[in-house]
Amino acid sequence: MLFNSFAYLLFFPVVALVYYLVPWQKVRNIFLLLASYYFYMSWDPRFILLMLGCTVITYLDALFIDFSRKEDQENIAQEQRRTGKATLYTTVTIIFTLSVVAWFKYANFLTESIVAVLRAAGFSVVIPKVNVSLPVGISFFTFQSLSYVIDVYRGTVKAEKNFLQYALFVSFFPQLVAGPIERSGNLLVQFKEKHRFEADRAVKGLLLMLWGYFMKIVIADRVAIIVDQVYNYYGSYQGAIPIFATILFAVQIYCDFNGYTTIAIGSAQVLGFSLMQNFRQPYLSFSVAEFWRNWHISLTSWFRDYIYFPLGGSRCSRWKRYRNILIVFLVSGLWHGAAWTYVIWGGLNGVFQIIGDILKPAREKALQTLHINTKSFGHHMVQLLITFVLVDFAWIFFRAPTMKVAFDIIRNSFTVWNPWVLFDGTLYTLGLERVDFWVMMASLAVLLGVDILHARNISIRDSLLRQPTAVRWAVYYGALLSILIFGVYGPAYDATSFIYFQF
Amino acid sequence: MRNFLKGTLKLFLFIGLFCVILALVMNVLVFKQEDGTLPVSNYYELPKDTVDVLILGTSHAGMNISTKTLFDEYGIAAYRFWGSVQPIWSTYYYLLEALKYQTPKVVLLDAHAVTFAQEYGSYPVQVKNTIAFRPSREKIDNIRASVPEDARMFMFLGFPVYHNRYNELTEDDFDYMPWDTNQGIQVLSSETSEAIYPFTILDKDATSGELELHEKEENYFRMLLQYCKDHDIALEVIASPYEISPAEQQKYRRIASVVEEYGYCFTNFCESYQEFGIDPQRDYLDPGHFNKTGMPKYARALAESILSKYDLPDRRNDPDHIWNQVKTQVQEPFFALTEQFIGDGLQNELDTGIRLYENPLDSWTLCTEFTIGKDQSGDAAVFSCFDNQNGEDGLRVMLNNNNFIEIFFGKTISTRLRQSEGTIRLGIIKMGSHFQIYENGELIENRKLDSSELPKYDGSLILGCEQDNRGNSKHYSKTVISDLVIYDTALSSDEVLAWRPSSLPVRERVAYFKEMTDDRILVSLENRFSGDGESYLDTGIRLYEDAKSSWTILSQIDPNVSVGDRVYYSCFSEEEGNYRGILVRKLDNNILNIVYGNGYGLNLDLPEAEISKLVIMKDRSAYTIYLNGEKVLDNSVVPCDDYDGPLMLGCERDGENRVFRISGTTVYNFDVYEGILSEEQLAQWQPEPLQEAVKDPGMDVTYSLSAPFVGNGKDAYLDTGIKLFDNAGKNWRLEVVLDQVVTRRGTVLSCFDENPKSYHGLIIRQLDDLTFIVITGTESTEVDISPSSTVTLAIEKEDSSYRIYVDGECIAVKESRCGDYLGNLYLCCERTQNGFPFRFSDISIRSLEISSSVS
Repeated sequence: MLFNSFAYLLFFPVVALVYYLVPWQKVRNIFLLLASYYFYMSWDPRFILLMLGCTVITYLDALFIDFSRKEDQENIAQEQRRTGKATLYTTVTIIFTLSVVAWFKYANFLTESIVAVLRAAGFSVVIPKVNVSLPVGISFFTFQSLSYVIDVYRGTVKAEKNFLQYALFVSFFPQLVAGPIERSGNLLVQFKEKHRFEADRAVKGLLLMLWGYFMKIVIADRVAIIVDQVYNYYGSYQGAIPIFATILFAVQIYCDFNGYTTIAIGSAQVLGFSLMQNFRQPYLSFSVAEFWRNWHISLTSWFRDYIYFPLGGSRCSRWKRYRNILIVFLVSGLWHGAAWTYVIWGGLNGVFQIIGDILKPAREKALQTLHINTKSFGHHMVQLLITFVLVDFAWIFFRAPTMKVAFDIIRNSFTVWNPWVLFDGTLYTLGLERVDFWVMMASLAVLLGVDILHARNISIRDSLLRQPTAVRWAVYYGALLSILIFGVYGPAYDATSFIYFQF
Repeated sequence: MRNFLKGTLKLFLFIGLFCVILALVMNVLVFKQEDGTLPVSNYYELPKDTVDVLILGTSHAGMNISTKTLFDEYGIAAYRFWGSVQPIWSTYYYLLEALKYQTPKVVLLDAHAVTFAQEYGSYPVQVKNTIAFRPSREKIDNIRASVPEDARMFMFLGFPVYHNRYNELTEDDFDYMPWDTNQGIQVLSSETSEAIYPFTILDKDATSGELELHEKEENYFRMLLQYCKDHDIALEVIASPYEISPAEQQKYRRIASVVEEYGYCFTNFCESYQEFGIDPQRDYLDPGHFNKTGMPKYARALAESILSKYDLPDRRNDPDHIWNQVKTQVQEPFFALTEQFIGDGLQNELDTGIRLYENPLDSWTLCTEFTIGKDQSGDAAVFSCFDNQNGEDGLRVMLNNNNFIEIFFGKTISTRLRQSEGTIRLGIIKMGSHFQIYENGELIENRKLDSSELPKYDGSLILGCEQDNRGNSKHYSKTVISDLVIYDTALSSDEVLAWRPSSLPVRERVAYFKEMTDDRILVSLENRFSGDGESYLDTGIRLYEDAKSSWTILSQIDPNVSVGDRVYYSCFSEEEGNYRGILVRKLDNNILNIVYGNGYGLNLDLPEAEISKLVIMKDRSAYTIYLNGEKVLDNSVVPCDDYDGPLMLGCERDGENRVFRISGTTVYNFDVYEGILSEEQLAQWQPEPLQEAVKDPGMDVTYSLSAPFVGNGKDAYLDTGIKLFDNAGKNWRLEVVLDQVVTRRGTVLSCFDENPKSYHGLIIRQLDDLTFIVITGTESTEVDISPSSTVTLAIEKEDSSYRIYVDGECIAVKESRCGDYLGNLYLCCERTQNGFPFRFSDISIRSLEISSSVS
C-alpha cells in the first residue's frame, strides 16, 4: 500500500478515525499494531513472518541482555560488563539480523561478484541465482531493531518488557517501509503516552502530508519522466541534455525520498506521534560533509552511532579517520543497493569528504591570501554550487543501472558542447510537453522557495495558520487542486514505488 | 461541545466547498469526445421523454445514421447514444443507463460489436465507453465488464484519467459548465465530410454458414436481447453496410439466428444496400463510415423501415420539442463569402459549389446583403441555384423586366421583394418544406410547400448570374453582394433577424471592357488582357447563337506566351464529333492555328517578336481572315451549327461547357463588331497597344512574429493578417525558423487559394522528420533538411520567380506565374475554399520574418 495510492487515502482516515474514537491507549496500540501489520501485508503477506520473527528475536535478545547485565553487575566490574553474556547475545542477534538482510538483499550480488572474480582469474564457475524477492522495507525495520538492541546493550535505553509496544515500535506503519529509522528513545516512549486529538496538530500533520504529496507526485514523478528518458536512452543524448537530466535526478531523488518521509511524519503527526526530521535542506549545504548531515539524517546518524564511532570516529589519527569515513560511506552505498554502482557512489561521497579535509588548510590559506570574506553571499554560493556539483556527479552512479552506463553518460556529458539545446526547444522533446515542462519549472521554484524559508527557520505552516480563514482555505484548496491536477498519476502512470523502497 | 460542533461544521463546509470547486474543475478537464463521452453527457441534459428512437452501438451506429436527416425529413427524434468501437457489454449498460432517463419508442441497435472477439477493448475505448456515465450501479457494472481490475478505480473516479488534460484545453472545454445545457445534440463533424473512400462490399453469397460468436460478446448480446424482451422494448437489430469481411458475414448470420430466438428482427444492410441507392464507390469516407452523401441515404432507408413498423410522432410539428430548439445552437456557417462579390453585369460570377436543392427536404438558411447597381436594367440575377432545364425550379433572386426583385424558391413559386433598389438584407430559412423569407428584418413570406412543389436540382448556387439549360451563364447582374453565408440547418427567426453582414474585403476588379457607345460594337477591350494561366475573360457575347450571323473580330495578339496554354480567344465548342465555332490559338513552332466553322482549320506562321494584327470576318457562313494586313483566307464558306457558348479570351470551353485551357496569352486590343467591315475600315483600325490595368500594389507585407507560436494539431492557428498575393506581382522575402522539427508534422504556414480553378499561393508543410513540401505559386518542391531540431526556411519571391532557402543555402529556384489571392497568411493551418481553417498542425514556429525587400 503506497502512500500515493487510493488504498492509503482510504486506509489512513479510517485508521485515524478509529484510533481517536477508541478511548483506551492499550486498545489503541493493539489497533495500531494490527493496522501496521495489515499495511505491511498489503505488499506480500508472507513477509509478515519475517518482520514478526525479527521483532521477537530482538525483543527477547534485549530482555536477555538486560537480564544478563543485572547478573554481571553482581559479579564483575562496571567496565567489563559488555564482555559477558550480553555481548554474546548482542553479537548473535546482529549476525542473525544482518544475515537475514544479506540473504534477501546481497546473496545474488555476492555470488555474482565471486563468479566475476573467479572468471577473471581463469576459473569457470557457475553458481545458481538465489530466487527470492526483496521484502519491502527490510533495511529499515532491521536497522531500527538493531539500533534498539545495541542501545540496550550499551545501556542507553532499557529493554522494553511490553511486547505489544515493542512490536508497534518496529512496525509503526507511517515509517515502516522507508523511514525515518527511528530510535527507541524517541518513538518507543511515545506508545506509552495517551494521545488526545488536537485539531491544530492534525491540521499541521495534514499540511505536511500535502507538502509530501506535492514533492512526490507533482515534482519527483514529473522530473522522473525526463530523467528516465535520458538515462534509458543515454546513447541518444549528449552534452547539456545528460547534464540537465542528472541535475534533475538530484531533484527527483530528493523530492521522492523527502516526499515519502514527509508524508510519514505528517501521518504520524495526525495520530499524535512525533517522528524525527529526516532532511534539512540538503542542497543548501556548503560542503559534502554538511550535505550528509542534512540528508537522510536518520540513516546517517545510525551509521555514525553504530559504525563510525565504534571504529574510532574522528578521535584518532588522521588516516584512521579517513579510513573510518570511507568504511561508513562504502557500507552506506551497499545499504542503498546490492550493486557496484552504489558502492562507487558511496565511495565517491567518502572520497569527496577526505579530499575536502586534506585540502582544507590550502583552501583556507588561499581565502586568506585573496582576502575573501568567507561569510559573503558570493562565497556561500560558490560553496553551495561546488557541493551540489560533487554530490550530483556521484548521483550518476546511483541512477545508472551499470558502471558502463554511468561512464557512458559521463563521457556523453563532457565530450560535446551544445548548450543551445537548453534553449532551442529540445527540452520539450524529452517526454514533457511545453506546458508540463513549465509546470515542472514552476514547482521547482516553489520547492526552492520553501527550502530557503526553512533554512532561515521560517515555518510556513505556522505563518499560514496565523492567516484569516479565507486565506488559509484558499491556500489549502490551491494546494489540493495543484496536486490533483498537476500530479503525475492515473492509469497511464505506473505508480510503482518510491525510490527508497528498494533499499 | 460548542467548539466541537463549530469545528465539525467548519470541516463539512470545507469539504463541501472543495467538492464544488473540484466539480467545476472536472467539468473543464473531462473528455469531450463526440465519439463517446459527449453523446452521454448531452443525453443527461435532454428533457424527459423527448427521444423516440434510441440508437445504440459502435461508430457504425453513431457515425452512419444521420439523426439530422431523420428529423428534418421524417420528424423522427432520434438520439445516438454510442461510443467508438463500443463493446457490446458497454452497449448493454448504455441501454440500461439510457432507459433511466428516457422512454424511447424504438431502440435501434447496430450489431457490429457483436462480431468482435475480445475480453477488453483498448485503453482509449475503455475510457470513451465508461467514463461519462453518472455514478451509478450501471457505471460500476459497465466498468467491471469493460476495464481490467487494476484500472477500475481510476475509471470510476474519472479524474485520475483526465486530470492531466490541462495542457490540451481549448475554448470548447469551457463550454460545458453545469449551467450550459443541451449542446451538440444532433451535431457530428463527420456529417459534413466530403472525403470519398471507394471500395466494394462483399457479395452476400460470398460465404455460407454461420460462425460462432466470441463467448463474452454472445453472453452480453443475449443479456441485452433478454432485457428488451422482458421489458417489452421495441428493438431493431441492424448492421450498417461497410467493408465486411467473410468471417463477419458468417457471424452476422449467427447474429440473425440469435436475434430470432428472442423474437426480434435483424436487418443486415450489407446485403441490401443497393436497394437504397448506397454506392460504395461514392458514399463512404472510410471502409466503415459514410460521408456526407452516404449518411442521408442510410438514414432514409432506416426511416422508411422504422416508420413502416412503428407509429412515431412527427416532432417537427412541435415547436417546443428540444430538437427544434437546440439543433441550431452549435452550427457554424456551411459557406461564407471571404470577400465581397462585385458583379459587373458582363462576366463576373462566383460558383459557390453549394447545392441547395440536391436534397429537396434538406434544411438550410441563407443570409445575405446585396446592392443592385443603379443602372442595372431588368433580367439580372443577383444569385441563383436554379434549374432552367426542367422548369423554373430552385432559388433565384432576380431583378426582372418590370424592375422589381423576385425570389423563386420552389417549383415556379415566387414572391416579390418590397424594395427594388438600394441595399437589401435578405434571410431565407428552409426547414424541410417550410420557407420563411425576411427582407430587411421583416417577414415577407412564410409558406409550407407540398412535396410536388419542392424542386430537386443538382446545380450549385452561383452569384452574379444564372445558368441556362446548357449550363451557360446568363443574366449577369451589376450587383454588390457585401456578404453571404449559408448554414446547413434551419436557424431560428431570431437568429436570422440578428444576422448582420461582416465587413468583407473588396477586391478591386480591373475594368476590361469599355462602355459601348457605338451600337455596332459588341465588345471592346479597355485594358490589355494578359493571361496568367488562371484568369480569363468572358465577354458574354454569343457569336454562334445564330450560326448565320455576321461579325468581325479585330485583335492584336502577342506571339510570346509565358505560361499555361496558348489560346488567344475562342467561342468554340469541343463537343465530341461536333467541334464548332471560332478558336484562335498558338501551336508549337510559332504556328497560329485558327479553327472556324465546323472544325475547319488554318495554320499560319506567326511573326516572332512583334505584335500581330489578326482580323476575322464572318459574313454568314463565309470567313475572311487577315494577318498583319495580309488576307490569308478569302471568303471561305464552311458550314457551322449553332453554339450558345460565349466568346472568351484566354481560354476555351470543353464539350461539357466547362472552362479549360486557361492560357498565358496576351491580347493588346480586341474589338468585336456586329456585321462586316469594309477594307477601308479595317485598314483604319490601327490602335495603340493598350496598357495593362494599373493594379493595386497590395498591402505592405512587413511582418515579424512577436512570440513563438506552436499549433496544437486541433484548432490552434494564427492569422497574421498579411496578404502575400493580393497583388501577385509584388515581391517579398519570408523566413521562418522551426523548433522541434523531429517530432512535428503538418502545415507550417499557408497563404493559399484552395479553389480548384485557381489553386495557387504559398504552402510550407512538413511531411516527416527530414522532408518538407513547399508550394510556391502552383509549383511544388520537396525540400530535404539535415537532421536537426531546428531549421530555417526562407522563400524569396521576385515577380514570378521563387527561390527556396534551407538554413541559408538556396536549394531550388521555381518559376510560377499565378493570379491574385486575397486570403491572409495563416500559421499552423490551411484555409478551405470557403475560408475556414483546416489541416491544423502542431508545428512549433520560433520566428517568422517577412519583408518586402528581396536580398
